[in-house]
Amino acid sequence: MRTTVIGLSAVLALGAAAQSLHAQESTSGARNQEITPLRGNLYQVRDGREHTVFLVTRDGIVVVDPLSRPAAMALKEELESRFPGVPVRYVVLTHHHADRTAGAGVFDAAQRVANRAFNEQLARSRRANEAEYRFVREVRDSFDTRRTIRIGDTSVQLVHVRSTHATDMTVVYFADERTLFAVAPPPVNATPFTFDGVRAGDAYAWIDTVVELQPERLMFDDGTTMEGAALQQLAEYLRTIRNGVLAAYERGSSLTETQATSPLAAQPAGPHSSASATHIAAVYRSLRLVRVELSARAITNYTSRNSSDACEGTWSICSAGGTVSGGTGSIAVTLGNRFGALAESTYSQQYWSSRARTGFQEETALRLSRTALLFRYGGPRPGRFSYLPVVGLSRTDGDVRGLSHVTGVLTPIGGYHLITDRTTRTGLTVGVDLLATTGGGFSISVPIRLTRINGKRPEHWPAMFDVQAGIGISVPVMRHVSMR
Amino acid sequence: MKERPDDCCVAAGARNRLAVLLCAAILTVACDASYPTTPSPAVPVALQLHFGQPLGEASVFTSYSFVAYVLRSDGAWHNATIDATWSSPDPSVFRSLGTGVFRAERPGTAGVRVELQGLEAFVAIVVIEPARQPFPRLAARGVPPRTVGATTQTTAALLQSAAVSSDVTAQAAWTSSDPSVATVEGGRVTARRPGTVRISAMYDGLWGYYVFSIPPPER
Repeated sequence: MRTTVIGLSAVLALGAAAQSLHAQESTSGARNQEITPLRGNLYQVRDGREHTVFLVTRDGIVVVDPLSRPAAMALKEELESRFPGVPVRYVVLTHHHADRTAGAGVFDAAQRVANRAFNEQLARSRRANEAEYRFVREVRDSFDTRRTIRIGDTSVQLVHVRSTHATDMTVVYFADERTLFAVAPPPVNATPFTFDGVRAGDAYAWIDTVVELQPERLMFDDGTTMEGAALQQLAEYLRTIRNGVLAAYERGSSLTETQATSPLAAQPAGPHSSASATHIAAVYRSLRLVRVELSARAITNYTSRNSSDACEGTWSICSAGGTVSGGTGSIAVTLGNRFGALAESTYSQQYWSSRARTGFQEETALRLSRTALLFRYGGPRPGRFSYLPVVGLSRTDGDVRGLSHVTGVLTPIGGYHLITDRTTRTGLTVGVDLLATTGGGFSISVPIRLTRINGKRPEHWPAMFDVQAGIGISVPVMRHVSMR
Repeated sequence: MKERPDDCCVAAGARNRLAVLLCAAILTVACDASYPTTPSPAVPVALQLHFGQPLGEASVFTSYSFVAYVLRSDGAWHNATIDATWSSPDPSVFRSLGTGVFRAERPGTAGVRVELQGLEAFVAIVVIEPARQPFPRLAARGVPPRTVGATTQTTAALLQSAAVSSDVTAQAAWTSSDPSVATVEGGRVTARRPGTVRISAMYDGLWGYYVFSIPPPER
């Protein structure tokens, strides 16, 4: 019964106060602080040049960024006088900077909420400037990416956003009022838009995150506002820029080429088009692209037939080397649109060799397996033909099985002898990948490799050099795009 | 559907795992070669009895060694001295001491027989008492060749008495018991292939000889 009476009193007081505030703006006497109704039960607080907001509900008040300690004390006094009996339940902190948070301790009964990185960032800033941060308190209630506060009949969404200003930045969205409050946003209000002062990746991430909330109105800490439709238009413009630049980047186009074939060419001019060249440059420079492809190829492996290496000596018959078929598998990682690395493995059919002289005959099968770590200049260019030089180190394993036959000689030299030998040689591999790549990233590839093994030629290997050529496909298995 | 720039990864988890597995396979697997033929076990096809040292007539109370070689079906020679069975047709003249060693016991004619897996070889041995040999007599001497293709000089000496001898190498008529094993011309003996052969010299109605063996090469 007592709860009901208090609750009813609070609602009545809230209604009266709201009417009063709607009727006229209010200025705190001691400070240059001004409280202005925004929408519904959402109010704006101006304290000097700083702005923040609070939301009044029947179950309590949500204060965002109480600003400095004097500003918070003045605000607390105002709230107590205007909304008697309505407690401040939550203090939402957009980030840890002292100018926004020092006053949080004034609302000591309220629950402080911030992003998970808040305390860590606060500790770091406090180490750098202990005096400035002496009043800033840690939060116990934190969230990772999103948090919804349900209070009264409404809800407040807290969403972590990437920000050049602070890594623990949060925007606050008031669902009923369809209004979003943000501190230190990228210059989304500027026309044309500019990336000045912010990283392109941060700006894109911020805009993408905020647009998803679909606010009708945005309010910023400098007191400026923006219509949600304008932000939506900016987001679509930037998305067009990004997709176009990314496609050109993947095709291997330079910045100049990308700017010359502007992704906006097919669209009517908009409010931001006049600065599209700088937007393209900023996006181009911020792109980070990692692609991974798997390849499988059928190859032909050739070594010199009956080379002087393999057949030197007094052989009356010697047959070695030639052509065998095989296959390669590789995994390639391409960083950006210029450099890549391949781990490539080759398996071949057996080479057959036979040699004979008086009293001695020998026949061997040699299977060469090769693993190579190659560096590649360039990457697959969707929709285009690519010519990619490769160079790197290889390791060749040669397994030999065979039989020798020595006649007219005492055992143990005489007789049949099984030949078993496994030898490994490192080597240098150079070559080129010819790729015809579809728009989806699938490629028909023609690899050409020349390998020279190091050291002395193993006895049963046909030559020091071999050449591989083949044809196959490359399939993209991972494509990761990020922006700095 | 909105694409976020830091969330554009199009890889599926399964494909990533496949890629990791393939990558691991690429880096670790090396294939073995295969050779389809395995030679069948070799069996002896011929047996040869070799003299340990050149020998004319054997002298009583002296020991001699012999070696048995088999030619196998794979074309290799094998020293079968230990595996073979050694015997003499008349042990009272030439007695086996085992594993290819014999001792001349008294003057007479005997021989050495060796057997292995159904193969047999035999050489006749004449045992004499050197001190009771009559003069004049012809003695063929020298170091015969030991390797195929080698040539050495053998001499024929006409012994008039225990103290008087003359070299009749050039005048003697030389013959080889098996020219496919060794040939002789003017006392020069050339080894042709592994085997045992008797080189004989005839001069003025006298006859002398020695037997020697050309062993199979070791390599």
